[in-house]
Amino acid sequence: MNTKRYTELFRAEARDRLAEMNTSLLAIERGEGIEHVAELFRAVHTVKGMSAAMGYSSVRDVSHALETLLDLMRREAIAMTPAIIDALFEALDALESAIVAVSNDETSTTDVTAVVAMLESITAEPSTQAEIDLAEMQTMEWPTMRMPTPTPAVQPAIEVPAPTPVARPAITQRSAVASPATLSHAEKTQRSVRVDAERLDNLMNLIGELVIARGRLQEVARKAANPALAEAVLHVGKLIGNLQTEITTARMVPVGQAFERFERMVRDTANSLGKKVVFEILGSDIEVDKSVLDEIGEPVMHLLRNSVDHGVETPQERRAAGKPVVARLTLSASRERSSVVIRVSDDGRGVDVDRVLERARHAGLVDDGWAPVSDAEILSLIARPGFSTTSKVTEISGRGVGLDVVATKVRSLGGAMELSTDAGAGTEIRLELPMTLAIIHALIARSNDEVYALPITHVVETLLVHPDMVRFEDGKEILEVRGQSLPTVRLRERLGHPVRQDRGGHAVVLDLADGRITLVVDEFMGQQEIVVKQFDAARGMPKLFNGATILTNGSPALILDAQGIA
Amino acid sequence: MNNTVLVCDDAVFMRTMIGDILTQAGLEVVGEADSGLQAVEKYKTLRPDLVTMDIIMPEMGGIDAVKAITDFDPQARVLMCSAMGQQALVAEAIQAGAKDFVVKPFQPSRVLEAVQRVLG
Repeated sequence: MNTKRYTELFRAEARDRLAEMNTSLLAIERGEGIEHVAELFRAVHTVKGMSAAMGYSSVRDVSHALETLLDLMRREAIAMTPAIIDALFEALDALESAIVAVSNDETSTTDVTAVVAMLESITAEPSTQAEIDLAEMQTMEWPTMRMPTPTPAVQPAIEVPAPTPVARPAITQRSAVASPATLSHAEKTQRSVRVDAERLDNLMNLIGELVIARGRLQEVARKAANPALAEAVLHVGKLIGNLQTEITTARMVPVGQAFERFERMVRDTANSLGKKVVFEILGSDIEVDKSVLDEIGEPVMHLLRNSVDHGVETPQERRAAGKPVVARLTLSASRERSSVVIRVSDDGRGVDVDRVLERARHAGLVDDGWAPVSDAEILSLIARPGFSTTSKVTEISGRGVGLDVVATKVRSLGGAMELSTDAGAGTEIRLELPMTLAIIHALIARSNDEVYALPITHVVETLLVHPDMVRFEDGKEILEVRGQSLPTVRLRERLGHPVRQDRGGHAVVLDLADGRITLVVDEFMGQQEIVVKQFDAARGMPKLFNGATILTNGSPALILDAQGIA
Repeated sequence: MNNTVLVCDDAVFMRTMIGDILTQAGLEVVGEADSGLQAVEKYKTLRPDLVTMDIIMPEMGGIDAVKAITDFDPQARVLMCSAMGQQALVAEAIQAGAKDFVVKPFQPSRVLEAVQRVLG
């Protein structure tokens, strides 16, 4: 038996089932009906069967005990009480640990005696169903059997021990047919295949290489001036473009995959704080690139925790404020143009704008004389590093790590974060993210004779530099942009090129983690979508670049790292 | 001609394992189903010589599927593949028209014996 193959299958399927179990149990807790008990029972039953087949005794024992209890619940022999639901959550955690343990090391065993004992104590009443001895059943003759009892004559087809060539197509067909069910939410009947994510990453990388090779090929073809070759190259170029679009689409996964686990986290967080929260997820079928999804899980989790911890009031506070005792927390995803927008909103106490300003002054983020023009401007300070103070350390939201971490992460993905609040009525945080990290928008900049790509993520505006905007302060160049004095970096200097005597050029205002700066280049040549190709910079190379790309004209360009330039 | 088989189980893992055992024994897996409903539909189009049927499945369990299949084709040969602890259900399935059963976790030899009996 090909054990490795089964191990992989087990791992993937057990994980899916665990997610289903948590979803079902949360629905049960919300009182959404007995059919969720049946769902939960089925998922547990499936895992039991698989673990028994693999010989994973700890997983099998927990799922068996769970299944027994759920069977009684399913037949309404045991009432669903909050205590039992908590016990079930605990059992799911134990099941998850056991599954994780065997997935990492097949020989490992998890001690599950405590959780099994706990489940069994709930099941206390012994099952009324008479247990028939298994061995006896195997040999029993069934009166209703329509086929005659086995004869010594054996079907020849079964005797053939090795797979015959004829049998081979069956294997191929199976792997093709097997897949729809892999996504086993029964309604999904379209054909699909489970593919290792690493394979998709490899494919994406290879296509990146191919795009670069296309650039070279186009260059050669141009020089050769052969119409037939040119036409062939054009055709190949188009095909590569299509391939790129296809693979990008193939890597798209529904955000729900990452959101599922949050339900459980919100519930546990709220419970531990004695708060009542109804959590709703909207738009879980919106698709984003896997690379984005992998990265946003943590930030979103952080925002949700923040909401429950700081945004949502205690039931007493809510009652006193005349609000419904149960708070609402919503996580939604939607598509807006080429971006995915994720919103975390609560109907909690909101953010006190005056306190934010006071705290920002205290933390030295702004001068006492700073005169903000809008609340939004003040709120944006929350996302600055050093804003959150350690004065309020809770186990839930961590040690003074605040929204700045989320903002930085979102920014590094090429997205943006916005916070809006209504004192006393709630807070909404909006994350706008690209659908993929592999293709980004960039400004194309020229310095000397070299061309670079600058992701527009951090770009606020571009402007033409007049020599009279430039001044020096302590030997450092400053650019006056609409009354703001911004530190200036000249790309020529950073790259070791001679600086232009006229001090002119094109500038771009960059919004970085610690404030705004301007970057001066010779010229901006336009904007385009580029395919990012990651590379490992040579040792000793300045950290100015974080990738390379091929421009539409076929020439290669390095991608500037805005954060590294500053 | 190899005997054809339709494998019904809601877990890919189980379908793969059963499929491997049967393929190695020279049967041809012509289809898979992850629910009772799908099993019935596929039986009608594929008309396999043998069906292996799980009991606990979403959208129509294995027992109802056996009933539907044997209603459609009284000659249908269905082998129940159930987990431990489902004995009462197995008896019900046999009454519904299943020919034999095996209990998970499977031993290939035990599965093949049952297959031979059913196809016998």
